[in-house]
This record gives sequence, structure tokens and C-alpha cells, in this order.
Amino acid sequence: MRRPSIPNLMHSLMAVALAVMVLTGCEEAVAPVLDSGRPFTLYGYLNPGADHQAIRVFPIEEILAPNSPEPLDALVRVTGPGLSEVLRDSVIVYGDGSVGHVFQADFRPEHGMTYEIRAEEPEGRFSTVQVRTPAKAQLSIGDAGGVLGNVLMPVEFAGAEQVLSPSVLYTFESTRAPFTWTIPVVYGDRVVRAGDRWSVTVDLSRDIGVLYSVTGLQPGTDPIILTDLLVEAFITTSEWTPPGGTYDPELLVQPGTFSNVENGFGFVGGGYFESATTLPPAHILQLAGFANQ
Amino acid sequence: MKPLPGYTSIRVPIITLLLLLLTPLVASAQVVRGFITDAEDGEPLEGATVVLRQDTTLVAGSATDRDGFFALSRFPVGEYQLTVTFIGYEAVVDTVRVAAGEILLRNYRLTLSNEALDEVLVQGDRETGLAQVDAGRISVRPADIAVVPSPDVSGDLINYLSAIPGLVTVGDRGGQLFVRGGEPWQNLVLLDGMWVYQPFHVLGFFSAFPSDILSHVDVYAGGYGSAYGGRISSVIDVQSRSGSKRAYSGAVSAAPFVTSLLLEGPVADDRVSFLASVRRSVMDRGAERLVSEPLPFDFGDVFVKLHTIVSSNSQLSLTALRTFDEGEVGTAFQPRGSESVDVASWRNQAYGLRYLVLPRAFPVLAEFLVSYSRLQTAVGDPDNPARTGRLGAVNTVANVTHFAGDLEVGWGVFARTLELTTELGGLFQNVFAQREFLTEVGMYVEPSIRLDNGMEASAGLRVHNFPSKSKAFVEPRIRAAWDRGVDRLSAAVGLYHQEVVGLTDQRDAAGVFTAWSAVPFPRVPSALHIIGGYGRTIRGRIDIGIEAYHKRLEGLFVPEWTAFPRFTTRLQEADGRVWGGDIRLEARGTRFLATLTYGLSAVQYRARQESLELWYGESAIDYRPAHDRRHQINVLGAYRVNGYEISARWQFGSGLPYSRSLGFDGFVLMNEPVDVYEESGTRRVIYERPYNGTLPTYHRLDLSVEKRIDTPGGALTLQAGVINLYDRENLFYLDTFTLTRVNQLPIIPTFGIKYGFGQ
Repeated sequence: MRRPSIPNLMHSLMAVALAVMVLTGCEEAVAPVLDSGRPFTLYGYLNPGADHQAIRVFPIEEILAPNSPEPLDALVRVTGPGLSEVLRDSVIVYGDGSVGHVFQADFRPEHGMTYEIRAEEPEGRFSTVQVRTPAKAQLSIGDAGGVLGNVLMPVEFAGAEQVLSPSVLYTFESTRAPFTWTIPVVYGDRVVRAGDRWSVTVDLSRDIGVLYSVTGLQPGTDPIILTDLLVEAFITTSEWTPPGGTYDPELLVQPGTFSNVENGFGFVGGGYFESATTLPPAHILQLAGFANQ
Repeated sequence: MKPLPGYTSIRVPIITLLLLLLTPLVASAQVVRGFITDAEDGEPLEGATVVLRQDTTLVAGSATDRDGFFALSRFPVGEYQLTVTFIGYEAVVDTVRVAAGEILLRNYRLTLSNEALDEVLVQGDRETGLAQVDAGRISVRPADIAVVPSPDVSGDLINYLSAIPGLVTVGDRGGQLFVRGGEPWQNLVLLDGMWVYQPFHVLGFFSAFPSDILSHVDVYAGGYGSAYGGRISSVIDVQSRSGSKRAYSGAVSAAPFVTSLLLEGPVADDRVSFLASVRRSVMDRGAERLVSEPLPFDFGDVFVKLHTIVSSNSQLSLTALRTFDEGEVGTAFQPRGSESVDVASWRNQAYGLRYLVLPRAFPVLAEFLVSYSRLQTAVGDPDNPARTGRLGAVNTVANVTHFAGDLEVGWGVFARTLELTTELGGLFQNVFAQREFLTEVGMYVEPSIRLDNGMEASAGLRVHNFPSKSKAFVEPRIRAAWDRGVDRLSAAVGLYHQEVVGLTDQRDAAGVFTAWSAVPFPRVPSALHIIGGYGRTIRGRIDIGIEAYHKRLEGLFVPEWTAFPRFTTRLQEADGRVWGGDIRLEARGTRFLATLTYGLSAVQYRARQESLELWYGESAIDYRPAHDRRHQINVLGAYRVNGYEISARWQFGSGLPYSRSLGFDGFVLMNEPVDVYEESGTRRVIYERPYNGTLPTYHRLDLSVEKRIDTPGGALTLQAGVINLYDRENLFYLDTFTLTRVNQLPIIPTFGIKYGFGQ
């Protein structure tokens, strides 16, 4: 067998190179956005305690661009036991200048029911979410009393699957100002759960410090006269529980992480605000640092 | 500059102690040593063979190093015939008498042979070239660079580097080089011992190293020895020429991308020479008119070197380099339709002193390096950049080599102080703007042995101390080769650490901004390199090389994965694994050269972001980083006919990974009953997995024809060529947020003219 000469080898190399060039010379398309088949992302909640319902709808788009102020081509409908409501689009211009689509309708869902929200494109693709509304919970406020120098007031939400954002709304006056303040003190991290009973211990003697701090009033100089005390919490279902137990936006921003929307993304819950007002006796309030009227 | 605490005071005793400790190795031996230079211009000749014979018996032999230095030892007292040979030069024969324990100094100048080599494209028996396999090392000489088509008539190192399998560039703009899975900030680039931090120009055809100033380049894609440190991926060790010590010469050239001027000559005959080079981009007046698109790049470099033969046993060189780059390179985070354009810029300065001495009392070669390097980088509005970085570093190094026959013992000490200032504009949320002062000190010892059976090996130990991290590392390194005539086996293994790192936003493929900083995490990045290779020369004209490698990278940092399409990010720790291999083939004759290389590489990063468990049900996520080019092919051909030098190069790279999305929507944090009329939410990218897509392949054919015409007193070189001959629309970057695609350069005809005088 003859050995290949060097020029022949070179020609062979060039031929191989040419062949590879021809084979790879075609343009290749780039498809940076995969079509997921999911048309919408939904946020909001159905409120059995209100007559007006609103759901934020984001279309899932191919490019990162601001939402269009044009009406969104989507049919959003809520169906449930004895209910079928079409929500109408409203274009909202937010404080930051961005535009969003909120679909709204006037109806009141019932407690302890399941509803389906369906957002559908004209082409037929749709996203759906099953929303369960919470049963009506019982809020009870116990007597306030002094405990080891603090004035505490027990609050309990019974029959609730999930309690969010418990807060105490203090309405008060002061001789320093000719108006009435209403300041909330949030108790979100002080909720104790025992089955379907959720308890919060309102610390009036601690909260008055918060009120002084927020208003700039001076303890000892500017008496705070409490006129009303509202205890409030958002009662919802167990679905409204973030994975990992915390509402960390860096965690929850990942699509699908805190989502109950099928063939889409986002989270729609069911819930309502449960609240009650009270005003502890004057001597208890005085013990906590409040002034008498 | 503030002196290193305690370092100056301990340096002299350490050097003296080591000299005294190592001197017994050779104290009783006779030594002949010296420098071999070109008689015509005084340049050192690397690779010249120096042998001692008694009668016809070979007693000792050695090859000169990059400084033209040789040392022969471990032979008996007597009279010998010393012969110096080098291809293309007349042999020199001398008689030396060596007394007991005598250390002789002999310097020789070789004159060019009458047998003209003009028609030889490359040497037949050569130690450089893409097909040479030496455990990760590839040696490059200007003649190698000359055969690669280039848009400049003078050529540039980067064009050759991009032909080496395993070395990945982001394309013809950007100036980033990824070596065998490593990132650009992990490369150590040295020019005459000076650290150059961002040495590649914004336009990918050019580096800070024009071919005309180069003497020799060693590219270690991994597995480098103990003399190098502080980087975990690669070393590009560039040595410049010294300039002619006999006659003035120079060259001026013009091409669509750059114009250049080169001057060299004696300052004092045979003793002092200078070499100076200036290049400046001219795209606005040249290349931009050849393509129908703007080329908003501007760059240039200035190099000056003064070389002095202080005495017969010592040399001193002073080197200065300045570069600047400015260009619109785009950013993935620029708002759609934004009229303001981000401009990236960087400026290098490096000033160095190198003193080479053969102490008369010791059989050693000693090298002392002192250099100052400075880098300024910025990106954003040119008048008010959003991010800036500044680095100033003083490096001092002492390298000493003891010669004892087949055994050489190299050792050295080094100290480096750095001032680092970064203003990151919130880019990395867990890395803050800061000004830092860092110090690195250490030493190494690396004996090497060369045996008669072709075996050579070096085993080194480097102690690298990072006082600011209160950490010191012992880095063992081994290199070995077995040359069996036509066959050559080589292997290397080594451990490397790097404290000063380059912070880049890897999410932005088009971004070139790098800010240097102390590593932001407690772990110091490290790498373990393992390399093995085999090479064979067939009939002296064909080289085949196969090399496999593995890099185990630890303590890297990558941007955290997030669906927020925001400019800022947090950094998280990651580890990397690189597996690869390449096959290289080179065939050559007197008039032609053909090279085919294929590189296969797989880079995998493992990130351990805390949220991964929640998102994917995995504590860590493995992905291909954006520089993982799996397949590379380079075909290079050069042919000389009738005084014309024709060269062609085709390069192919498989697609790089990128993150494809499922679309874009909005995110509202449902941590409470949100009022959807008030809460606007934020935009969000719906990612599936990181780097789950692959960009299109890259390939391009470049052609060049060059003709040299000798004129009285000089030579005129004319060049014509085409870059991207078949006008392939290679993708430079794809903004996946706006689907904006930016391509690399289209077909560009190039014309160059160069006039060399005194040549």
C-alpha cells in the first residue's frame, strides 16, 4: 500500500474542512422563548366578606415589555355553586406609572365554597385556578389585665384554617393635637396556633410605646386617650401558606413556587377580614399608660 | 508604596540562606554557562544547542532558554570542544579549558547561515506549533502567528490563541478569553514578568501584544509549574524582543482596523537597545466604511522596552506598556428602546524592571523582577459610569536556578501588594463598594531533572500566603515528559489558589466589565489540574498530538438565580468541573503548513443557592456555564508560492449555553391580602432551568494573501484578505428579554500595507 504523500494529506484535510463547512453553513434559528402553552398569571383573592371582587391578570408574553394600556384580550369568569360571573377588564395606572389589568365584578362569594376562576384567550388557551373560600371564623376578645407589669389582652380566632396579618387598630386622641389618630400595630409574628384556634395576646403596655414612637408624642407630657380599639385579621384557607414558611420575595418570585394556578402562574386565594372592636376598662387602660378621657 | 511589613527585612536573609543551602549541590562541580545571541541584532536565541565534547565523546549538552541562556555542569576537569548550533545559523565551535570547581562564562553570537531559509514557511523540526503536546503548554513564536490570517498586516497574538483548542473567545468583540473551562479573571497574563490584567482589546482580533514585539510566548492551558501562581486557570507568559543592538529599523503599517508604528535600534552599540511600538485603531476611517454598520470601538497600545547588557554576566531591561479600550459592547439589562448606550472602557498600565544575573561566585542564574501594574475599568455612561474598578499592584519576584548537570533546582520568593477600589453601583447586593489593600507573599522550590533516556520531570512546591484571608496554601505541582524520539508522553498535575478575583456579571454575555477584588467569600478559589498527553512526529513533517485534561474548580462565585429581571444580583458560591481533550494534527513542508485541531470540552458548574431545594427539590443545581463550548474545530492552511503567502483559517465552535425562558409575566408578593388596585407588582422572567438552551454554532472563514517586496533599504508588505468570507451571521449576544440579537462582524474585506525600513 502506498503511503499518502504530504500534499495529498493536506488536500484531504482541506476536503474534510470544506465538507464540514458546507454541513454547518446553514443558519440556525434561535428560539430564546419556549412556548409553555400557559397564557396567564393571576393574583388576588375571592372575598366572601365583600361585594366587589378583583383579580390581577398578567398575560404571559414573549418579550419583557411594559403591560399594554389596551384592554387585555381575555375572558375571565368565576364559576361556583350557583354563580357564574364574567369579570370585566379595567386598566389600572399604578403609582409607579406602570399599567396593569385588574378584572373585576360585583358579587359576593359564599364562605366555605370552592370557585373556579378561568382566564381564557380568544384562541382557546386558558389558565384556571380553584379557589376555596374560608368558613366563617369566630373572633373573641378576652378581658385585659395586668400580668407581671404588662397589660395583656387575649384575642382568639376559632374555626380558622389560616390567619394572616392580625393587627390592632388604635384610635386615640391627645391634648397635643386637635385630631384623632388611627394607628395599626401588627401582630403577624405573634400568632399562636392550636388546631383551628389562633390566639394573639395584645400587649397594650408595649403598644402604647409604639404609638408614642410613631406619633412623636412625648410620654408623660402628651397623654394618649384611647377612644377605640379594633382587632382585625385576615381569615383564609390552608392554601395560603408559603412554601418554606416565609414570605421571602427572593424565594417566592420563582414561577411555580407559590402558585395554585393551573396552566399558568400566580396565586389566587380566598379570604376575608374578621374584626371586632373593644375598649378595655379605664383603670386597665390607665395601667397600660393610657390617659382617661 | 508602603513597604511590606516585615518582608523587606526577611527577604535578603532568605535568599542568602537558600543560596547557601543549595550551593553544595553544585559547589564542587565545574560549570560552563553563558548567553547565545543573534549576531545581527543581539536578540537571544532560544532553543540553540550547546554541547561539550572531549575528542568525539559527548560530555554534556543543553539547550538555551528564552533568554538564550545555557549552563553545562557535572563534567570532569579538562579541555573540551564546545559547539553551539541553531537551525538557520552557522555553528560556533570553541575550545574551553575548565579547572576544578571553575565557573566559566562564555557568551556566543551566531550568524545567519548562507543557506537561505526565506522559502521555508516554518521550520521542519520545530518545538512550537499547535500540534506540539507538552502537558498543557504551547509555545508560540512570531512565525507561528504569521501564518494565521489577520485583519492587520502585522498579526497579533490573540489570533493564534483563538486557534488553540480549549481556548474560547466570546467572538470578535468583547476581549474575553476562557481557557479550558476557566474564566477570564483566572488567567495570568505576563509581559516580561509584568502582570497585565485585561490584555485583550475590545475588538477580538487584537491584544496588547502585536506580533512584531514578541520574542516568545508560553501558553499554559493548565498544569503550570511552581514559578507561576495567584491564578487558577492558565498562564500566558509573553516575552518581548529586546530590539536590535546593531542597527536601526522599524515599520509603519496601515490597515482598516489599526495603524501601527514600530521602531528599534541601538542606544549604545552592542550594549543598549530599544524597542517601541504604537498601535491605534482606525475603525471610523477604515473598517467602518467597509461594512454597513457602526463599529463603535476605539483602542490602542504603546509598548516601550529598553534592554541593557550591563556586563558579560548580567542584563537589565525596562519595559512599559499602556493600553486603552473603549466600546459599546451592549448589556442585557439596558431598557428596551433606551437611547443611552453603555460604554465599557479599560486602561492598562504596566512598568517593569527585569534584572538577569549570573553571579560569579555561584553556579546559578538569578532573575529579579519588580513591576507596577495598574488597571482602570468602567462601564455605563462615559461621563458618569455606573460601575468602576481600579487596581494598582506592585510585584516583586526573585527567581533563582541552580544548575547541576541533569538536575536543575529553581526556587524563588515573591511579594505582591495590591490596592483595589471598586464601585459596583449595586451590581452585587452582597458585595459592596470598597477600597482594599492586600498582600500576597510566598516562595517556591522546584527541582527538575532531565535524563539521557528522554525523561524530564519537575516537582515543585509553592507556598502562597494570603495574609488578608489569614490563609496560606501549599501547592504541589508536578510536570513530566518522556521524549522517545518520535513519541512524546507528557503529564502535569498541580494545585492552584487565587485570592484576588475578577467580579463579572456572568448573566450578561455581552458584558466585559470586570472589577478586581479580594474574593468576597471565606473560601479562596482553588483548582486542581490534571493533564496527560501523547504526541508523535511522523517522518519529521507531520505532528499528531492528543491531550486530555481535567480541572476541578472550587470556591467559584456565580450570580444567584432569580426570576427578577433586574440589573443587580447576589453572588453565590459554586464549584466547577471541566473535562476535555483535544486532537491536533499538523502537516508541513517547506512551502506549506496545514493544521487541524479539534477540541472537546465539558464544563459543569454546581451552585448551592439556598432556595434551590424549594424550587427544584435539589440542594444544588448543575448547569453548563455560558462559556461551555463543547466542540471546537480549527483548520489552518498556509501556502507560499511565487513570493505570495496565502493563508486561510476556518474556525468552528458549537453553540454556547444560555438561559431560555418560558416568557415574561408579573409577580405580586401575596404575603397579605394584597389590594390589586394599589400593588403594581414587578415584571418577572419565567425561567425553566439555568442555561437550558444552546445558541447557534459559530463558524467563520478568513483568508489572507501577503506579498513582500524588497526595496532599497527596506521591504514593502502588501496584504489583502477577507474576514468572514461567506458572511456567516454569527451571534455575538442575544438579549433574551427583548429578543434583540447582535451579530458578530459580517464579511469584511481587508487591505494592509506595511513598510519596513532597515530590515
